[in-house]
Amino acid sequence: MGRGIILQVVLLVISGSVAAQATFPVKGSVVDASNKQAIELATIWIPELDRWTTTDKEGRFTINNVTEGRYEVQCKVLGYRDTTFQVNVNDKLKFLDIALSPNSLALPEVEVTSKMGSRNLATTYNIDQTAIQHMQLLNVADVGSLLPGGKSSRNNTLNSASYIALRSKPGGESDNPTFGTGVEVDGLRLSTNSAFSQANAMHTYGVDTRNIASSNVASVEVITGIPSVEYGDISNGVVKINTFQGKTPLHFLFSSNINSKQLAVSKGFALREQLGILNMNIERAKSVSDIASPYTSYSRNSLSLKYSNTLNRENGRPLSLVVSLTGNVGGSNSVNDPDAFRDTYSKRSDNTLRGGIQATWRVNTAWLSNLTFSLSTVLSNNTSEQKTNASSPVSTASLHGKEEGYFVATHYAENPNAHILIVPRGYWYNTVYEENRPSDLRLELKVDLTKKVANRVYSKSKVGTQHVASGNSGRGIYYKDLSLAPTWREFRYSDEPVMHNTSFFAEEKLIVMIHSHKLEMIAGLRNDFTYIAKSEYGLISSLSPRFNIGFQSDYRNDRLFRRYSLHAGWGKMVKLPSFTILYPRPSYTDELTFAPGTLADGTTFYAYHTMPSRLIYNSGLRWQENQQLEVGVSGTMGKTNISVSAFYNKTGNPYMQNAEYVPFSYKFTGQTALENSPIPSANRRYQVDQESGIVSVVDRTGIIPTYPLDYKERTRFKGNYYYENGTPIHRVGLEWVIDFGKIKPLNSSIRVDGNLYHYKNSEDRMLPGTSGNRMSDGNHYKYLGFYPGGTSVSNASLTKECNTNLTLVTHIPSVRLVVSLRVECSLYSYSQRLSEWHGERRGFVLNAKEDYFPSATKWDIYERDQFVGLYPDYYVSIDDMQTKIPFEEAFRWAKENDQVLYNDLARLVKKSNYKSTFNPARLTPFYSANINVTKEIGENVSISFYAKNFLNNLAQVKSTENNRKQTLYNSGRIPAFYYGLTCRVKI
Amino acid sequence: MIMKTKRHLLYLGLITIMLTALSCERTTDEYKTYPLTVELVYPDGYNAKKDITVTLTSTADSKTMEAQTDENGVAKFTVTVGVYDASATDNRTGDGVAFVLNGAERGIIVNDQWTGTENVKVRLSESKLSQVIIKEVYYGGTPTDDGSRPFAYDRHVILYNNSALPASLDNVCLAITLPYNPHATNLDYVDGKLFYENEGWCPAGQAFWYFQNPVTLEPYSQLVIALFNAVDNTQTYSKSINFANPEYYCTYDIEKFNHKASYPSPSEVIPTSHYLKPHVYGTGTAWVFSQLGPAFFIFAPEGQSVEQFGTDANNLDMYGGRASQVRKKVPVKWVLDGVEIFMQGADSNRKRLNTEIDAGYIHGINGMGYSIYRNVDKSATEAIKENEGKLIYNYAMGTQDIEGGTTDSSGIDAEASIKNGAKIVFMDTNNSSKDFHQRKEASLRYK
Repeated sequence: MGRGIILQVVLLVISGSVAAQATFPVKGSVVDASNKQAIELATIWIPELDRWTTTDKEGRFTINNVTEGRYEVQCKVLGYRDTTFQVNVNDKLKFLDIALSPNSLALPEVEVTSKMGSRNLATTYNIDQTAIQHMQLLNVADVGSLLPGGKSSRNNTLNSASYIALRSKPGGESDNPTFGTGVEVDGLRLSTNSAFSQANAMHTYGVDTRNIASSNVASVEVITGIPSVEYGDISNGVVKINTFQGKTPLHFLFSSNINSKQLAVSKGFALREQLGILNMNIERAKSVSDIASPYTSYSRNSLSLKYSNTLNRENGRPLSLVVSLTGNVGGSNSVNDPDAFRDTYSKRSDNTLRGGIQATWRVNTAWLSNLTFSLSTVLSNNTSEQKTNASSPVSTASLHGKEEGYFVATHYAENPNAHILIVPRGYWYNTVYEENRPSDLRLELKVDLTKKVANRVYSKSKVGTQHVASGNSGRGIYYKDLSLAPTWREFRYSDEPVMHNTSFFAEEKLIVMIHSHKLEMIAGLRNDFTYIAKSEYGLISSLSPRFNIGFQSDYRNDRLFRRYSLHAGWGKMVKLPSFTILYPRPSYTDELTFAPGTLADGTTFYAYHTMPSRLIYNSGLRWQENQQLEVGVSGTMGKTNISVSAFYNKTGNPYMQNAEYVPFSYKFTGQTALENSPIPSANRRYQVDQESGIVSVVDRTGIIPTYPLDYKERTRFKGNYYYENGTPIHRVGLEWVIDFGKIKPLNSSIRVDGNLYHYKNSEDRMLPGTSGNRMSDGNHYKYLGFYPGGTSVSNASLTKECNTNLTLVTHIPSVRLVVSLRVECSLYSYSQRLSEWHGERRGFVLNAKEDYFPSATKWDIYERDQFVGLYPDYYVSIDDMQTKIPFEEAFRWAKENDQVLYNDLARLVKKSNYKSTFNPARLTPFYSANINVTKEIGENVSISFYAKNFLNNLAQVKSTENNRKQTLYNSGRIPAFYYGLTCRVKI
Repeated sequence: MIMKTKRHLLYLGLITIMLTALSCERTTDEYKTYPLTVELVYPDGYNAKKDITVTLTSTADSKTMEAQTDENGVAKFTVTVGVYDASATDNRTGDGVAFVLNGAERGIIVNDQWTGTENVKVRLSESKLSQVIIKEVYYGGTPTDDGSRPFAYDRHVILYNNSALPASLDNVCLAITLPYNPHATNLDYVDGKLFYENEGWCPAGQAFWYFQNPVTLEPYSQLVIALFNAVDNTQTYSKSINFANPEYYCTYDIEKFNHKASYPSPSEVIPTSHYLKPHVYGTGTAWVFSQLGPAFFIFAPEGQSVEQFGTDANNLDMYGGRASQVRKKVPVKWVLDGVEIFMQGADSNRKRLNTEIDAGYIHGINGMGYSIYRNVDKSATEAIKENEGKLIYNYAMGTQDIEGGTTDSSGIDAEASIKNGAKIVFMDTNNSSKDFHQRKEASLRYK
């Protein structure tokens, strides 16, 4: 760490001069095709030149000084179907009359699935408004089901957190793929870097999308390939969510399914005097987890405001301004649940405030095309509150002190700040809070220059910088009443330093037109500098180079492949660590060292030895990175569009936790030491020396002198934890989408999409492990084994999948109806636990589960149905941590010569839990079918209905792991039969 | 209008006829009876005996039927469709030693294919009767005063010397089978039989407890062992147990099992010499003693010390092969007594104790303050001359009034009689279906 790497800005130098070329204005107007009325604030864009403007009140636009040539022109505006056409810019160019058709099912073409593309030469999936409405999106994470091979969510409610994981599986993979997926709303990055995870330090999850108002989502773009260097702090792609922007009628939405209700109102107001447009969305969604007891619920109450305008349009240097502010108040709550014990409840707020301002100025000079500035902030409040009842027939000890040493329990009334407090017997309630308030402040400045550098050669250069400050102002966990609180130590999140990340990026894109074909190349470099104040990690630099290349043919009707394109890319991405990894909460080892008998009033004065431990700083820790290689091919053959993309993805330096074991001694005073005490128990007071641990008995009456108690010395291992970089994880995949085009007589189209997926992780570290059992003599276990590849017999896994979905879409424009039937098939699902050490098999076969020695006749641990054992390579004793004793040799010797040693060493032998542990688990194919229907009633009303698993598939699948059949019902493999309805009205 | 009403009446009539027809058909099936003949198969050296009681228990509702054997050891029943367990106990004596022959055949399915032409064979095996028996098991927890979930840390067992001679508990160990709960999937069943029955051992899960000092149990006296919370629990939970008694014992070793809620420091009035010590070979911070239906047994090692048995790595077995669920193989011949408790209302209960240890089972309901209590051997108790005039009858602590409940058919109120100076001989046939019943509350609460 701390290596200083200077940003090497790589800009392709375009040599040669460009001959002066004639320029012409591109002028036109945009009107509504249905009523010929002018459309204001439609965007006109020439991608090759990155020239853009918006229409004025009369729908007119002008882009001046466009170099002569043939260009693609795109026109888009909210509520209308996008249009793209070719224009020859020359002296004969006429005034462009563009007529846009309002989005509706009356149009001949609609998209209700994701559209695979390769924007900026990275595989991208676009999900437009029609598709979102048709699927009745309640949670944005559900768009994952529209990706190739994607499956409908099993989670039909908002009651549990939802994450997006791209080109990976959200659960069970060891590098936190959801954490590595970037999620943006209108360019505003959401992040969980500064959130503290209480449950599992190893699993920092990504963005929980439940607080994003789905009724305000206009489109979603999912970049699974190698994205531009603009995107940092990711490892598994980016999901870009775009909310409504533009003038719209007043929309009402009401959606209902078995567990959830959603109500939303939205409108895009055109402010007078060309003051821009203000979009507003108000949504309330509520989900109950159990309809039979609809009291535990999650609610989302969202208000979004977005102001957009284009200033300075007239002089050809427009300034686009977008200011957005979104607030959500909601979360889960069980306060009114009558099934819970009286007055007990749990609730967790999911409040957020997102605000941002983005300004893009079309500077249009010879050295600068656009200047983009953005400032955004995300403030979240995920405070939880839980009230529980408790009772005890005796007093209990609650430890709150953070100091090292021996302490004896004290009544709260005597010392509220005591290290150990006595909670008296009886009945009481505890209210615990966890205040978690992560926040991000992000500043970005970007300039780009698009120019024609030679005849039919265009250059797009981009240079920018971003700064992100991530902090948490939460108090952490605390209790309402300390006198009754259980063992807990304060750890204020707000005390942990802010993480600053400054990045610089530069990217060059070259577009070469070869006849009507297009060759594109992108080279980019990003350098992140991470600085954490008061942290030993200091300044960390990480480089992310990325390269893309692509070729796109022209479109010709007279050949088999009317259009084809290829793209390939390689890139490295760096994921910054979360606060959970950077600032793990300190742990405390509390050893009970004295427990005198319980008195008649239920009180006991326990004494404990406390040993605090904070995570060890690892100077060698490197940021987790991801290297991805992808190749994509797409083409149009007849009416059929085919897109295929293959990827190889390697996660390097994944964050892993490890333990360092050190000997630790303490004094234990047994109760026998108190027997025959001359001081009656009612008169006793106990003292413990904080350093020596010697317990003394004090006579409260002062008659009998204080005397110390006998003790025994105990020694055991104590684990100190630290993070280090683990063994790389590999993923390989293939994704495809085949659209067979519309069968006009049937008004239907067929689409087949799917994926092949291969995942493998392994563990190549030598890791220590001990036994939780005692030695034969009753003392703490004193041996520490060092296991190649970790202490688990199975330390690696392999997953292979093939998923294919068939979608039949019937669209009848004349009746404004679209029906889609989607069959989601899992054709191949394979997983296997492995045992590996640097690519070699490790472990040995046991003849019987009770054995401790390798079978003399069986060698292959992957043969079916056998128990597998694992030895440490060597072990050390707590008495001598330096002498490494080869385990197997010592164990075999002990078997013949020292039964006690043999019994004790046997505890270091690890065994597989089941004889099927290493059996390959291949499932028989299974499927689920969904149906979605959307019908527009006139211009103003539309109704959508969906039914997941509408055939109510309850079939059984068989796994080769144990040759058992298991029902698909409630298996989590397919969704349960589920349905919902949405009604939209626009006025 | 009249036509419409007529049509409705017609429909109603048709529906009534259909329903009646269907219900009649079902009724016929339900009450159709079948012959079921049970034949006791004796081990070598024993001959069949007349008038041995064979018990047939319906697994659906725990209802029992009894029939006596003829001279060939055959007993005949007439049953309806269902699944049954058959069991029998034959007490024998010889050379001054008491033996019991126990046997059971489980899961006898009687359906409409049943012909009843073949005898159901119940193979009896020989087991010794012990001086020291399990008198009571309190496992299910006690209702709390504030109505919150039951207090479960007052679980305890009571051992009893069922003989006229003093009994030593020096080597006696307390164990519980793994799987701990009766209704969970049991991986020990291979082809419908417990695999370890053929191997002659019984599994003691996680750890077993032993007396750290010599203990002698006087004739017809008891020893209370608090398994958790050896304190006065009644100050907080008025229906619970006060263990603050210098006579009581407890399982407590805070260095080995340190779960705070399970093991508060025992009451200061309990001497530390009364703490039983564990040999721990499994994992966990507290001894797992099922709250739903334990299979509890006591054993005494023979030919080796408790220490040797406890530390030996070669007598371990992993339940289902799971390294985290370790258990000791306790030879069946070492087992002094055991009781198999099933969970009332669960239809997936499966036996865990070997037939030689306990040929039957007793159903229990948890969370209500009920205990599993041994029945009185009426004839043996009444035969003790000193008991004349001391026995109290009209036992009223059984739970026969509760669905699935049981009582002691002897009618003797053991606790009242003991208080009255009587010596009680409890039933010991190594068949808990006969030996135990569910009591309304723990006997320790008897004042």
